[in-house]
Amino acid sequence: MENGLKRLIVLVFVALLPMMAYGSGIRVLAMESPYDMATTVANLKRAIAAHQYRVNPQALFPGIDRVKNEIYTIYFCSFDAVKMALESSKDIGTLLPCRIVVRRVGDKIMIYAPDLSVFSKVVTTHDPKLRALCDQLAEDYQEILDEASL
Amino acid sequence: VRILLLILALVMALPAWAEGAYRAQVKADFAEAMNELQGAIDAQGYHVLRVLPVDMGLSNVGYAEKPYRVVFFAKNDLKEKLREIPELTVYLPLSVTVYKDGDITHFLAVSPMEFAARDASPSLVETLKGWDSDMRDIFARLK
Repeated sequence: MENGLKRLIVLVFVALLPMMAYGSGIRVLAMESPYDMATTVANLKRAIAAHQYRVNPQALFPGIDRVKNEIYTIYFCSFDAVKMALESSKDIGTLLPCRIVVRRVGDKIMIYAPDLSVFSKVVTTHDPKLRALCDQLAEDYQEILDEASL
Repeated sequence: VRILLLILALVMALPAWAEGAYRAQVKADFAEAMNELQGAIDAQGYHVLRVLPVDMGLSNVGYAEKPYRVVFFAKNDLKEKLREIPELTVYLPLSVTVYKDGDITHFLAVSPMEFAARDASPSLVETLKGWDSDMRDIFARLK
């Protein structure tokens, strides 16, 4: 029983390791991709679409959010969810647009996504409907990262 | 009474910062409010990179929405900062959300200090404090 508990603690710790921010000092979801840049981007787009989000094919800040072989930011949105959220609170805009960043850092390909707790003091979650949407988005971010780096 | 008035005046002079967010509102036409924000951003030494028309995106898929924009802005050192701290790419450029509700146009932003994790280095904290101070000044101009 005790061994089982120890094993569980180790397993949880190992599972959480890739989600840590590598000591950058920034609250962010971070994961190292086992694939090259192009494959990582393709995997992410597939995972995002599988979660019923619409991928925006364009860069918002050319030369900053897309730099060949260095940075690729994927923007995505669920208009249904945004509309539903806006009915509860206009503050949801601070989360927009949803984004995941693929970056070459040294010889690694890293995937970064926002840590939604950064916005928790802005987007109030007193409304159960809005809270459910935010929880779902946080869950989706994590699942998309996991699925893309399988 | 004087002390109370002084305290009241100090409290009223505090920026619109509250629990990790900046908020301001103006009773002005939306276009006028957007110009006011642009002016405040310029005055702080930043430049607007893009305005994301959330309302138009929603109307394109059949949802009517009052004016709702996200304004992104940065200083010239943005690329350098992103090279130094790649994780910041998910939060930069800084942004202000602007929306209309009745006669009032609301401005809202997350405090850049919220980006910091517990293990943030003193130099990172200094950088974030600088952006936070800039955001405070931008919002002070919107009052």
